[in-house]
Amino acid sequence: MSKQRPVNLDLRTIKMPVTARASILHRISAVVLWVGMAFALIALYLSLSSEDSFAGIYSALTGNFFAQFIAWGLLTALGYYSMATLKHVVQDMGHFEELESGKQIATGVLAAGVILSVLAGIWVWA
Amino acid sequence: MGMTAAEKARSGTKEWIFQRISNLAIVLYALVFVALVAGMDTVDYASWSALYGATWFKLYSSLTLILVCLNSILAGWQIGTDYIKPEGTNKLYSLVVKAGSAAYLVFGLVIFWAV
Repeated sequence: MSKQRPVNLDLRTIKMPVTARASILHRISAVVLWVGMAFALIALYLSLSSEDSFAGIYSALTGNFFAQFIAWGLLTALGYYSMATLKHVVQDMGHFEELESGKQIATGVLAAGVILSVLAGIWVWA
Repeated sequence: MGMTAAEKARSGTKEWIFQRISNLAIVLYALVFVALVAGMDTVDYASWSALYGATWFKLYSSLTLILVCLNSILAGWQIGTDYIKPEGTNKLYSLVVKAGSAAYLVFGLVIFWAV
């Protein structure tokens, strides 16, 4: 690959089309999941170590806004990450690869991510 | 999955396929997990510890965790090569990703098999 090729990955200077938004959100959701795994594993550890610590985690996830927000955030990231993964697989198989169809599937994946995020919020808070 | 010259020279096809497989494994695990938890009559300590006490779920969770940690090293490397140009910073970042992923793997396996 030529070292002279123009490169601009400074995301702050790029006005992103919907396909790029869908793509960068996939990365962001992955980073959120990776960092959030620390919280999830600690919660899992506590929830399984004893009945008392399970009760602590359970009451946090049903009554503490901060804990609920983390759970919702992780579920939202997981939902979007999953939709974007399916998008990749569909496109790997040769579908939705043209400009217009690519925009359509990107928009669809973003919409599905929002819907899953709302459902996750209902699951966590309702 | 690292930064050595030999690995840089590879085509990346294996990494691409591995990434898709591990991504799909994450999606499948998420579906299974949400279905199992949402399907519990009551989420209490008994049903929760029964789920994580089941051998199939221990094995399935462990397998998925191994894929997650390998995938996070691969994806972390991709992200690092895109955005982190200074060599020292990149190496430090890469170390954090690898150490973090290894810590997740060990902690997760301890949770699944020893708690």
